[in-house]
Amino acid sequence: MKQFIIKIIQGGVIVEINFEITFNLIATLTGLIGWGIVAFLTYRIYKKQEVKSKGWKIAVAIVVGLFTFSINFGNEMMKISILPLGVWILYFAFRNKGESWEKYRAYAWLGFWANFIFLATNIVSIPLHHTIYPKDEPSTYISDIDHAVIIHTHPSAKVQGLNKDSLLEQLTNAKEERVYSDPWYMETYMNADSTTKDERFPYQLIQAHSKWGSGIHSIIFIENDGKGILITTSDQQLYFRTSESVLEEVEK
Amino acid sequence: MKKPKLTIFIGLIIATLLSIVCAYWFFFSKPTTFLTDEQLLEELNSTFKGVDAKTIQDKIFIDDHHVVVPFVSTENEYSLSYWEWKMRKWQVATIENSGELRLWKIDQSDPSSYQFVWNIHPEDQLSTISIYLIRERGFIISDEEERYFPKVQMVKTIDLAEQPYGVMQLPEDWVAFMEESNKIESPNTSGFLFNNFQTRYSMYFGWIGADQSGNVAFPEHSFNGQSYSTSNIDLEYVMILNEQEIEQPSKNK
Repeated sequence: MKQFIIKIIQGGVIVEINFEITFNLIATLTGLIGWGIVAFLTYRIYKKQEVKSKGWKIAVAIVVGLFTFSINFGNEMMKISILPLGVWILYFAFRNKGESWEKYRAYAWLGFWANFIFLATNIVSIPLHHTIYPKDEPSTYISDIDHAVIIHTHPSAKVQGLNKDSLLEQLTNAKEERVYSDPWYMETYMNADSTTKDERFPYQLIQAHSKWGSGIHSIIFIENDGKGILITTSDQQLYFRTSESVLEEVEK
Repeated sequence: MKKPKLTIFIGLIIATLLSIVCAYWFFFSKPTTFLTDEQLLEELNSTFKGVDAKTIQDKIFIDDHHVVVPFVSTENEYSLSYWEWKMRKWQVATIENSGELRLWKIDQSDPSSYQFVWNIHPEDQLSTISIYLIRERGFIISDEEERYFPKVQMVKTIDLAEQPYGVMQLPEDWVAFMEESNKIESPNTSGFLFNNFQTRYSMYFGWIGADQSGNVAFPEHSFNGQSYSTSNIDLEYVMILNEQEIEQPSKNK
């Protein structure tokens, strides 16, 4: 499957926008708003200046100014800039050129403060993302199943395939339950005799897409009775039970 | 623009275009016809002195640029050689005078380009080899969350009577499983906990040979070869699995 990918640089971080189906709409929009604010502030400084600066030099000063020493709070989106490294670099490079430094200093500092503008847009984007794409609803993760199929990832899987109608219906009434991680793990070794082992989740649902614009990727396993959905994303795991099976017998 | 400047400018453009064309011709030119058996033997024996290649068994094209050539040596070793079209030449990247299973990752980032390669010695008397993709079952409990990792065990069996040597692409469902996993593992791997998940529950490949009556057999003659590489291709060992490691489903399921 070919994907159309565009890379933009946001706050010094390269963000991939994937137009296939899984790009993060909220992060893209808030990122654009952040850049919009920076552009507006640049224009304000430019207007105030008596001696006008060159456009490309302004851009370089801002981009270099973005470079900082920052503290990361467990998440790439939550970093607080502390030391204006970029501003210092520009200062040491141009301090003896007199006027030149005076002219571009404001832009370099704007680059530094832009980190906080992006931090603010990130802080806004997270609850917004949670509201539009609720994390506790299976339909956030399984939205478009046109191309979805079941693969058998363990020999204890029976000859079953995906029942798409049932899956769509069951998603609406699925109930979230606890991930019983260690009981599930133990039962395989307790119940079976030493020669046989069954997997609780022997099916994987592949090529199911998350809700458009959510940017969420997940790995989805289906339980052996067809009534359990185990969803793993990079930062959490969720378990849903449905009332009917989402699988059906298929002919060989 | 003044005359001399204009000439230099045009000259520069022509020079740039020419070098692009040359580079393109050099790096991306279509491969010529593959080497003949005699050329292959000569190349093998001159590259790797001790290999003593005698008979070329086959030339297996993976794509236009990658070929696997199984061969037999004068010492009756069933061997493998890996060829690439590079710098306008067919070059041998690796020669091995044994035929145990290998995984050639043509493009590391694309599982569908991965190829299993084998040339099992007839004296090993194997009738099938089963190749496995495995990820261990596991769980993690931390203050914030619990996670369970289902066991993944997928198998593909090769009939050696039909293919004593050969090349096999990863089955479609294996590729699908790997691609889905890569999607969530690549973007945000900065978290400390997440790195843990990866190292503990990463997937691997393995294989088991079986004789005519279906009993596990160790392919002794296909092992313990020497390897000679001239180019850095991504060629991986595939470990032999213990029969006890393979999970069998219970009958009543």
